[in-house]
Amino acid sequence: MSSSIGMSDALLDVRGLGVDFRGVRVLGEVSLQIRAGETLGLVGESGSGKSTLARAILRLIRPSRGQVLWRGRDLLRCDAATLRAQRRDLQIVFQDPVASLNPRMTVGGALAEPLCIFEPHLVAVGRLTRMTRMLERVGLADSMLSRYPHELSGGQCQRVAIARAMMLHPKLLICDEAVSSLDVLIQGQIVNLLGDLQREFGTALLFISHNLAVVRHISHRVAVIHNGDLIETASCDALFSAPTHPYTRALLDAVLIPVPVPAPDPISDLPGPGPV
Amino acid sequence: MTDDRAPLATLTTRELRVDFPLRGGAASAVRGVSLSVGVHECLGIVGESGSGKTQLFMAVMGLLPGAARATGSALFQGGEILGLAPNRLNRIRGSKLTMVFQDPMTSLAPHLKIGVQLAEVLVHHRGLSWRDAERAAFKALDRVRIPDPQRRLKQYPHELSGGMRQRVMIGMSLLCDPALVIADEPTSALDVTVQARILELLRELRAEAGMSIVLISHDLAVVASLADRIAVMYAGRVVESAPSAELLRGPRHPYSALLMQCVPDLRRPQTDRMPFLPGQAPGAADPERGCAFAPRCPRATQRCLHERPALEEVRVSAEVACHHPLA
Repeated sequence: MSSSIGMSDALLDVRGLGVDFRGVRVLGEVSLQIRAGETLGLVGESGSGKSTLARAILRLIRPSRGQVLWRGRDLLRCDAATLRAQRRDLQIVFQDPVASLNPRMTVGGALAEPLCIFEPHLVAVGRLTRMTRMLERVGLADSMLSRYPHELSGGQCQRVAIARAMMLHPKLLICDEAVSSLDVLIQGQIVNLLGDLQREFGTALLFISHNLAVVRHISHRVAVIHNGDLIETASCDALFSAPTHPYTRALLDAVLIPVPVPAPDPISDLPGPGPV
Repeated sequence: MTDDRAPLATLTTRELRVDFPLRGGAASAVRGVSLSVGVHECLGIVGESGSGKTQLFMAVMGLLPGAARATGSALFQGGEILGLAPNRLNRIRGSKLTMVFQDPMTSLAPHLKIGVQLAEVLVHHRGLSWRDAERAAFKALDRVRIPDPQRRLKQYPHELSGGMRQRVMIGMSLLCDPALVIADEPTSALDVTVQARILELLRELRAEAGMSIVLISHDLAVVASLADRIAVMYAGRVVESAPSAELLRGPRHPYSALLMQCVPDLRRPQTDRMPFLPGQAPGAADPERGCAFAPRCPRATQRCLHERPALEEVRVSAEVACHHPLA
């Protein structure tokens, strides 16, 4: 580690990262840090640069300026082989779970791929054990291994995408609107799953979403992005109880209030004749 | 439609079923739904994906894929539209009966300018000249509060933001003064701020134009913001329907109650885990035995596993299908 100033405990240290597309500034100069095992929520409306930031961090697009220090090493300036080697620790889950899986590949194939690439010494039996264990971990039966994405529901596809991203126990998982296309009933399950996986594997999360309630739930700190610039970064509690930037306040005000009286009863408290 | 005896409802379905033939059986996406949408009423349809909420209204619109079979009845302004020949159906849909879909990018033709796509509707349905139709298209954009309509008419869909495109779709759906607009997850692809503005727009347009609306969403908060009445669907059936305020204040079906608890709410104190509903809804191909929700229901008894509860009126205009409804 060379010159990181006071952020030596940062897993990811993004400094002045900016992206221009054909001369149009899409991302200004974004700086943020993520510590190991921490969740940073990133909120902002569409077109604000959330996904561009995620892609620039992973070098899926070429940033125009800035640094992405990954455990002290600048990902933007390392060679292809080094980048490739680092990618096993940097995974991403996208919004559309069906589109992010290869339609011609079974679930088993999709899960085996990262192992085949990064752990080629693993024998078939060992691979299968790892795959079924991870499937079980995300709440899917091992009969799923032979299924194709079109046979699964959206929630199941997203579990598969998460399982694949977690196969190699990455140090950072970027979730780019990973629960936004799912039903409310399933959103909670996936968010809880991500929290569990984080605790179990010590994975840091960059959780990108426009759903503020979900972000509040999962994040330790939250960053707000607007027109390509980070306008506020604060601890989760501080941001939701006392937002300082007017845009953050506007964002919080736009959240729909679903139920006239909040119904805080946990599900298990539903009175009833009892289980079957 | 003659107006000497005004119909009670804009749309009424009776025991509507949607079945997809499979090798050695059939999958039933909709298993007999009877509901009605009153004149000027906004009916909200809530349910998770796979509950049949979209397929039900695709059947009404005659937009089911070729293999699917819709049976039962759907009366639109008193006339049967299920199984209507395409040429007769086309006189109704797109003009009197319209639909707004979730993804405005894929519902607009990418290679045609916005103005052409809007004008086309009027040329086709109203027999307007292109010049008049384009003037009406300008008004339509103005009506959905799109700034600088003249410039937008000459743009292609990809040049507009998602919220703007959805405004165009809504404007298009209103071109021929429809009696009913079916909006299927109209804001699910949009941000919170844009979503709030689109819902506000729908509310205003409804007050202005007085059309009936069916608002389909998995998000109870979206539906609650607009609907007069809410029908909750589960596994191809309506399990509860009631006036919105009543349903939100005191859901009778355990599923509705659980659905409400799962809606993320910023006012609620932070909990360790997000509430969710364990288990999975039965698939369309699964045979029906007893109450479809029983395996996930905290109130279920033996009876629920064997005997399917009928949808029964519990109060005026409130129905629930449950052996052990909440008080």
